[in-house]
Amino acid sequence: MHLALVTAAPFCLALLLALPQTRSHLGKTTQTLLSTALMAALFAWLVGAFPLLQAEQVIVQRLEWMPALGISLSFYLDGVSLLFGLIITGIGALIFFFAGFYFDDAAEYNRFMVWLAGFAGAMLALVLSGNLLMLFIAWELTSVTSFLLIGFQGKKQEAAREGAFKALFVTSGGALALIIGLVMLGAAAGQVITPEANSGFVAELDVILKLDNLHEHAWFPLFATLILLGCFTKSAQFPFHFWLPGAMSAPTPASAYLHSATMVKAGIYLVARLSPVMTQHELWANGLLGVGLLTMLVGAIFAIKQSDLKGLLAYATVSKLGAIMALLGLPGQAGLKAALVGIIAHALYKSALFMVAGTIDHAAHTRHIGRLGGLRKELPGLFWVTVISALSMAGLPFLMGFVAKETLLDALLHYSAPWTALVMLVALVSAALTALAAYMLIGEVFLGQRPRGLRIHKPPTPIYYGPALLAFCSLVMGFLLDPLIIPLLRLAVTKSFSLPLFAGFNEVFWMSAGVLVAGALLYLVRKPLTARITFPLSGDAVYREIINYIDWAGNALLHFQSGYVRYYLVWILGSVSLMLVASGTLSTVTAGQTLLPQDLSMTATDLAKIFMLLLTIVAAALTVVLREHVKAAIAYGVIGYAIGVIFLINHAPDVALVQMLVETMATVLIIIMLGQIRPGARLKVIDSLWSGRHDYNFGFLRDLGISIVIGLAVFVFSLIALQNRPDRHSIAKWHLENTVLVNSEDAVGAIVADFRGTDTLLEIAVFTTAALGVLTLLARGRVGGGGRPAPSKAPVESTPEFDAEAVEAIQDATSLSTPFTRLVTHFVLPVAILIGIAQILYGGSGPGDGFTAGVTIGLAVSLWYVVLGYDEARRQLPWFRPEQFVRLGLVIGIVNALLPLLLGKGFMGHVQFDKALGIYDLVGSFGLHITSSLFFEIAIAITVMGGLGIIIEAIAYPQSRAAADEGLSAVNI
Amino acid sequence: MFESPTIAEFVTQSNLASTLPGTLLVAWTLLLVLVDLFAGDEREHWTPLGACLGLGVSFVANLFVYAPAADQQTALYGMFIADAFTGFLNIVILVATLLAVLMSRDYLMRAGIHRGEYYILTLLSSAGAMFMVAANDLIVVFVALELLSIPLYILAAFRSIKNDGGELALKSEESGMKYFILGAFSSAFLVFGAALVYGASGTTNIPQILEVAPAVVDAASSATFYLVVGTALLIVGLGFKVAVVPFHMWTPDVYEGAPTPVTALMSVTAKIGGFAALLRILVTALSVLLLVDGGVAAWQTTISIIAALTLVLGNFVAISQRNLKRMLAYSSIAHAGYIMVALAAAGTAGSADSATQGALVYILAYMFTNLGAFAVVMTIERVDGGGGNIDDITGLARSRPLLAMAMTIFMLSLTGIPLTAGFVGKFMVFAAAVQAGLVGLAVIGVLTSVVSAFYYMRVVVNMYLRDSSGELLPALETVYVRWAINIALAGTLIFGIFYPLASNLVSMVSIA
Repeated sequence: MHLALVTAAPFCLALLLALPQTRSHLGKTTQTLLSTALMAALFAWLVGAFPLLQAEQVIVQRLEWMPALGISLSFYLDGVSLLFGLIITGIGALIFFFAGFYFDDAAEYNRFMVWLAGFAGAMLALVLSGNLLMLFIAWELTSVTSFLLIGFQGKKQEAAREGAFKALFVTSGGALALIIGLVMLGAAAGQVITPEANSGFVAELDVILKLDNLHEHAWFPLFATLILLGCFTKSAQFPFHFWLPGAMSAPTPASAYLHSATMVKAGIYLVARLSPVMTQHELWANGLLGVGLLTMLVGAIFAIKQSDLKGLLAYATVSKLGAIMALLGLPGQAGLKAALVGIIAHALYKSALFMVAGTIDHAAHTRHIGRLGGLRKELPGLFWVTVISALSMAGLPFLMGFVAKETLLDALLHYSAPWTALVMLVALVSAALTALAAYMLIGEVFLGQRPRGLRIHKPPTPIYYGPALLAFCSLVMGFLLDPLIIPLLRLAVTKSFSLPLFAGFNEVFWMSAGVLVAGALLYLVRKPLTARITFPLSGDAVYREIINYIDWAGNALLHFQSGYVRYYLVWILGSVSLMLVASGTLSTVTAGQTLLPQDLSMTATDLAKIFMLLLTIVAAALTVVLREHVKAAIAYGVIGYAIGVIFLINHAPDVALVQMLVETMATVLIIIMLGQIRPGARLKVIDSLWSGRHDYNFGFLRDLGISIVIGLAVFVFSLIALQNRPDRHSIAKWHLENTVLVNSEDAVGAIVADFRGTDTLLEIAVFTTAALGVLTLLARGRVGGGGRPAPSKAPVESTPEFDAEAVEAIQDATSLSTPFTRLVTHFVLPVAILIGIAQILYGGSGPGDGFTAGVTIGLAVSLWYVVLGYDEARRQLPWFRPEQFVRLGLVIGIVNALLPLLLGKGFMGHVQFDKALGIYDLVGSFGLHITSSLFFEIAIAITVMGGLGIIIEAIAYPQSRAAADEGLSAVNI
Repeated sequence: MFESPTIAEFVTQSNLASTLPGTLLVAWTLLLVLVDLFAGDEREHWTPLGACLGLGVSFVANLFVYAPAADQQTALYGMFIADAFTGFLNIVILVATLLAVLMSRDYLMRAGIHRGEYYILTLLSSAGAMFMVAANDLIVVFVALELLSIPLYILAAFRSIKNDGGELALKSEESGMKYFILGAFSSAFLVFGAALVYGASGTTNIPQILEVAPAVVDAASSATFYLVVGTALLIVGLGFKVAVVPFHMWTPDVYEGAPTPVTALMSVTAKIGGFAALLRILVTALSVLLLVDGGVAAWQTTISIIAALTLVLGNFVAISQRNLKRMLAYSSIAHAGYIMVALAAAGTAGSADSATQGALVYILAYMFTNLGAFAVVMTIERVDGGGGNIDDITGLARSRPLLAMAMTIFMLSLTGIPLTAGFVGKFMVFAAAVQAGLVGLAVIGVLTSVVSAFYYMRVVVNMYLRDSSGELLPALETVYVRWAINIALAGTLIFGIFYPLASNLVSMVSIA
């Protein structure tokens, strides 16, 4: 049978149990027997593989899955995996059987068993995996199933939730360290195999385990540490041990199975698995030894302080796991035999004791040691099981635990290092305390007086079968070393060894006996002793601190997230400045470059430019300083105008015209928008900006500082850029020479309408999109109802639903309406239209083009909205329909672009309609050329005018009315 | 005489055929505008259906153009490149958009917004992302970025819903405005950076930059300065789009305010676009030329620092979030950090390909998982934005077992637990980082993943291990969202369980 099938079997069981049909058709007993039988069969199969393994030492089976990533489904069976596999299936069968009687509720049992069977599959996959990554996946699966099993009672118990989370947090954290360690190990293995080529990632265990110089790799300390971290967290080593007692909220079968027999030994398994290639390095060996011994001692001390039966067992488990880790750290596999014997002995007695604890919980509804006592009479069978298992734990001759303790002490005694004495002391003290814990289990729970009010209800008999069988094993296994245990160990331990049940009255035996006596003596003084013990360092407290700090750090970092865009900008600009400084190139580049211009002589036009620049600076300062928004906005407009004048001085009238018109438009829009804000609100903002702020000085200085720094950075950067411009060919000359080709005398016009005509066509589409965007943002409630809102017919004052403030706001927006301004407004529009038409017609030979024409007309219209207000402007200009203009403009543009195709020219080709119609000279005498460019300019003008109209209408729409509209539309929703 | 080429000449010369996936989507979208116009009251059915069909058409076109055997080819006079990188990311974008459209169908119905332009803007934005992953020229990067972003600005402001008190919730508008202002700001950086790179190298074409750059660097003149500063500014501009620290500030505000499907969409497509451009610019154009001692690109340190900051901040701040959408927003910052790790790894000579492949697989995994998580959030969230808190998910395992199971798988995938797609992505990214010698960065990545387990598992704990005090949660969602969840779940599991799949898909990718 393929090992893949062995691994898959428990998963299939989990799926089977999860089916609704199973739940409804199979009773609890059937499910129990089925699960137990499956695990027993797997156990039998593994036993059957024994002779084959004896012949071959290692069985490797492989299913190619993902060669590119180094992942295949490969299985690896040797002595160590076989031992773990036997424990998982053997103990598993007993636990599955036990669980059938532990749970009274069938549905609960079913839910539990699904997870437990899933866990069994994951655990089997872990120990049978022949690939590091598959091993890791199984490793994480055990963490997740463990999480679910610990939190099984989470709906009822806060402790279960917390314990589950804690266990997952610690083991997953360790697992993430592990994966990095494994990735590095795999990469290192690849480099060791083929040093010259980067051969990538090696994940196959059988390959890695053949490398004997892996520990010489430069990365070894790092990945060894990471892998050890993963193993320590999983196997509950100090200081990560605290999750294991927390995990005792799990139902007892899970505790017995996961948190004693199998999952907590996963770390030990991986250490044992990798030790052959890792243990040559001191870091690996000493790390295991140190942490293991510390864990052994700490676990034993905590164990005797526990009042919860399962807590005691959990800490005793921690101690034993520490002992096994320490053994694996002994140089040259000296401790491997002792470790494996320890694993067997521990699995036998600790699972039995956990099941005892579960049975007591089931029978007495408490696990508190103080509330138990005198159970010997009520539960005699359980008593004897406990006696045998606990004494095995204490190490009484000739139980299985005795063999384990003998080999442990023997191995440590033969460890020759300066600190051997200390090692022995730690081991003996821990052993004595473990013995004390074992006595307490028997004495406190089963002997003595039964406390009052303790009621016992007899559990079903089959619940005893599992623990009894295990106790029996503990009892007889010592006498079956030769036929059973030794052949198994020979598969795993390469050196020759002997494993006698009784090695004679040597020093180890006396130590062992001394430990038992010391434990008994301690039992007499246990109460004062346990009260005295305090331990300053608690991993749990550290965990809590870490959790608190994580929370704190999250909140602290959150303070940067103020929600104000201006602070975000400061952060972004600050980071950019940092990046530029950090790039370090500023100084190296400026070193050899000129920062200031060489030629400082000036002409009259230069002076004019300087004057305009000064004007810009003054206007910018005024924008910031002026208290009233309208004045500030006008000052802001002056900046643009000054720059426009500079363009004029530089012989660029087209650019200057565009600049000025756009600036005017922007200023007008800003003023309209400011008109929408209630005067009260406006004053409040200004006051809070300029006065009445507690942190006025700090805030002001800070903002000033930031502005100066950013301004300086841009200044220096621009200066360097201007002074060190690389020479490039300019395309300006080409444009000037070829303008005549498109019957134009104006290079700018030619570029816009012809040379880059397609760009312009797309540009007006973009402009339209932008206008629609403004519409979406500002005119939300109105558009929802479909289309433009009609102007309000009724006089504003008489609508009672508007509050006084809103009315005031509307009046305020139209306060510019005087007879004079009305006259000007009416007069300006026709003039603007005439100017626009002129700009379009003569755009080819003079300043101005379609864009400026559109803006000019749009400006005149916006004046109507400013002076007369939204409603009156809409009433008096019924022909002004921005959306229609946009459509019309785009259609003309596209038709004009496509038309040349019909005439056999390219897309947007240049067509001279006047020549084609024979009226070239006629219109030429007016200085006109009727070309495709002209129509294109018309399209641009209409689109721009429409887009501006959309924006103006959206902005000028009274805010209070918008709110009311939304109120109405809300009813529709 | 000055003559333009005819259409036929243009089509052949520019190799328009290889741009079909993107151009077809745009063309289809423009047709959809008309369909929407005439659909009238039926538009709530027809427009999303049309949008899905358009995505399908583009998907099929993509399969034809990027058949595995096809060589890379350029189009539009070298401005557009169609290679395995483009093809793979196109698929990711199309699937992401499909999921977002399915979610939107439900969202718009519940919010009572039946506006066709919603889907049109969604498709246009995705087309922008598709052009961006195919951009072979800085100009195209910029134009595609704007096509990607501008519809998203509008979509972010799309939600006009009243809250419980009957007041209009302005969060959505605020979100759109903030996104727009900061987006415009970052675009300026991008353009400035592109201009400087052009000034230094005399070209905006990415392969051509690669050709001339070594000479520019050797000259050690002002041009070198422009190149380095230009690169830095390009990183800033694109860093904003992918939301990495310190250019991430807008993310939580925008994500929380925007309609949930839009948040889901922009957390994926905008990032894909940004990362694709970053990869192309840094790995293709600027890797070899800025190699300093030891075969490491000069920008690697900067990217590494950004990645580390992003990982730490994104993960830690997510812990403090009670609102699931906001939590996912911060966690999306963190995930950008993991992709940044791959990008940093690509800066080491020789590991560019494996790092790029890692980034792509991560993006794929993140797309399925994150959209799935957002879809689940949609099922419990009310349209006014209420009901999406972590406490509202309590007891979901009892009231909606399948939904809770799906959410659990998404959370496990976001944490990076094996058998989910998230693990495959994280594994490939970390393996690439280790291979590139960035062990420290990989360790930071791992440690912050532990932190992320903290807040992702809190969701699972709340669903499974706590009982809701009150009644069972009602099913708010429609069949469309369920489909979105199913697809996302299938992707998460299929790419997680059969992990050869993802790595085989990207095995042809090479942009270095």
